[in-house]
Amino acid sequence: MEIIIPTWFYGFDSVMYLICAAVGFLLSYYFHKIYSISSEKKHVYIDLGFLLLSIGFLILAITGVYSYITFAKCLVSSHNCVLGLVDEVFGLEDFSYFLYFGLSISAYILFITAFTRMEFKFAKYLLLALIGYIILIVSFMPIKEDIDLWITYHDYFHMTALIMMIFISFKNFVYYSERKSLNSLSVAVSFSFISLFHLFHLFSFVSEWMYVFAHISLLIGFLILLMMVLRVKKK
Amino acid sequence: MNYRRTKTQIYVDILRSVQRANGRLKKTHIVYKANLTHSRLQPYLDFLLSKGFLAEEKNGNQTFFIITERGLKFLGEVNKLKEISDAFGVPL
Repeated sequence: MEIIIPTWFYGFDSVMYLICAAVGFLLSYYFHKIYSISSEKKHVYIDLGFLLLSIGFLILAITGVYSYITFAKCLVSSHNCVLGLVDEVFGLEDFSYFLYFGLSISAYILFITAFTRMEFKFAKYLLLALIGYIILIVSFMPIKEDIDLWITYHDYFHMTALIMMIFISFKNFVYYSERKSLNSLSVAVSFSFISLFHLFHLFSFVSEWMYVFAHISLLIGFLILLMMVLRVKKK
Repeated sequence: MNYRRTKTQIYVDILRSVQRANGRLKKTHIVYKANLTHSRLQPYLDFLLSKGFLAEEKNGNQTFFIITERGLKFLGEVNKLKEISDAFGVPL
């Protein structure tokens, strides 16, 4: 299936990715400090999770800006130009999206490991199962030549990420029901918005608004996390 | 429970025990409130004194340890980090 991206939204998505990356780096920094006090693995998992997620967003933002600049040049030139292509098959966007897919899934595995208080050996099995699942997709899915490689895998990534994020959100809502604190509610709601980001992406073939809604959901999710941190720091 | 405190946790426990005693405590009381032996406590006290988190106050034969502004600020920072980790369901 294809992804409909409105041309007027070009650049906004990169800015949104940059904001999310900044918030992610901030949370990674705080969890690194927390880990330096506790030395508990669950804290380092969240630290690394946010770090990987932020690097993924940063890669998407940089590639996005590069692609839009190339696209703008293409509009003014009469040459038949190809957007950010590395070679005939594997484009720059493919490269960055695959990196982002891998980094995000790794981050979500780390979050699940931390939130379920799972032993890392079980997380390793989860990781192995995911690798098997990805190999199955890559082996049996037909590659469409008329669309970019990353778009072919886009739905599978967002479906996998959505399932993982729903689980993470659920765990955080259960925790909120025990704690009844505004901060834990903020975290649960923000993870739900990140789940919506993946859900809207799955329907990005329906309308151009799905792509916009997906990015707005992602931004809201990370802004809620930022507000929570600022509220704590202001005390 | 088999639980081993990190160095930073021990510093926090010492500072908290002094703070809870109105900011002023004798070494013997710190020993049992922070759950340490006399010999183990000394290097931690030396570190906290050198960093300016604690100060010594002599009163006759007795020596008291007082928590400083810097020590209180450090405890405040730790409490904020605790709130953030609590929000994620992974308490510090």
